[in-house]
Amino acid sequence: MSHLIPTPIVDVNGKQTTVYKKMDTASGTASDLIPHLGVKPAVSDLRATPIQEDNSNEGTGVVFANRYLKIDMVPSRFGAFTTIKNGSGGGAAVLVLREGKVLMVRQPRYALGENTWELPRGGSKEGEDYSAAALRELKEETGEEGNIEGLVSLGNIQPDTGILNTEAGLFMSTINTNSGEAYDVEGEIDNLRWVDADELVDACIDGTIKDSFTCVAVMRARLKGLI
Amino acid sequence: MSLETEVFKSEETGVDPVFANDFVSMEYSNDGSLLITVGTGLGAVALVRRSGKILMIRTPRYATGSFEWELPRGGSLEDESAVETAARCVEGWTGVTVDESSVIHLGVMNPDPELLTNEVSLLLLDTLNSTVRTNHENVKWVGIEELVAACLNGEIEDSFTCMAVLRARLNAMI
Repeated sequence: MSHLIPTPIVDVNGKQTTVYKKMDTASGTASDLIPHLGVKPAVSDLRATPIQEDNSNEGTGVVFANRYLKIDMVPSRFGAFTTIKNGSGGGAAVLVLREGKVLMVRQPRYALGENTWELPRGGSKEGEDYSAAALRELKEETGEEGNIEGLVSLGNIQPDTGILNTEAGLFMSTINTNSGEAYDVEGEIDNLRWVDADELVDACIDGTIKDSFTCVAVMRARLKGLI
Repeated sequence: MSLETEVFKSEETGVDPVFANDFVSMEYSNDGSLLITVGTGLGAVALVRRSGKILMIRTPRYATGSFEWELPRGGSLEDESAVETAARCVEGWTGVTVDESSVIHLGVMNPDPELLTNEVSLLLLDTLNSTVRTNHENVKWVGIEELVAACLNGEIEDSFTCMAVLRARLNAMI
């Protein structure tokens, strides 16, 4: 028997995050599920570094705001630079795996004029870490937090560094029960599907699914051998 | 079963932009959602390979407050194809000339379907030359395995870079 225990670490980018270690109850030893997450790479040096330069060109501040987002013209070497802050800027997407199938939700995406199939995803409240957002999504979409083994981090994603401040955590959670039917609080069961993992991987590779959150989480999980 | 998207049958949007500058425009759809378009709404990401290495650039990203190592990318100009966009951006950032006839399409992506209308093409390209001009500190050829590992372990968070690299790897193209 084993179970997962959350462990706070500082990740390779110097940020606080949480990884989940596998605790073997027989031997009492904990092991990393993704050992390299907390380890600084030996060779690679592709990490982001803070901008610490004198941006002599002034920004002009917030030029548009509503309850969801604001457009902030920040100082840069190029002059006032357009950035968009969406909500708290944080969030999570979660890959829920049950018996070789992955939970997908259909969303109306007005920006694209399409209903798209994506992994469940939600925003963080201000000051909340990404795993809390992931657990809330899990509860909303499956309704069975008691049967969830735990979260495994698949690393973070920044959807568009050119303009959005958004950074989200990608997570995986395995449901080990065979009773867990998809649970939809809105009663729109047509908008939830358990999709065969191989089929989902193919859809992410061939471009049938275009959402960056879904594709990056699914492809990382496949290449790590988790699905 | 199909995972394909289905197009809405909705009425035309006809509201004036609520905000626009040279880089972004925002408008409301008639159901009240905010739609944001960066540039023309189209763009390209270039995965440029030579001798087992991939071309990477480092740029200041003011939205995230960081210098980020990423694949070269850019927004398309009016009437510009994705391959032309990729070639122009790679040349402009690095001085490297890509072989447009070598292009392999890795599909398209939506960086953030919740917010952005943008659709971006991912392209794998070979080079005609390999001269790196401009600031070497911010341009480098990175080993393919090192890059794949960085996209896998979250060292690189940029969605465009991760999408192109991971699709190319899972397609056995790199």
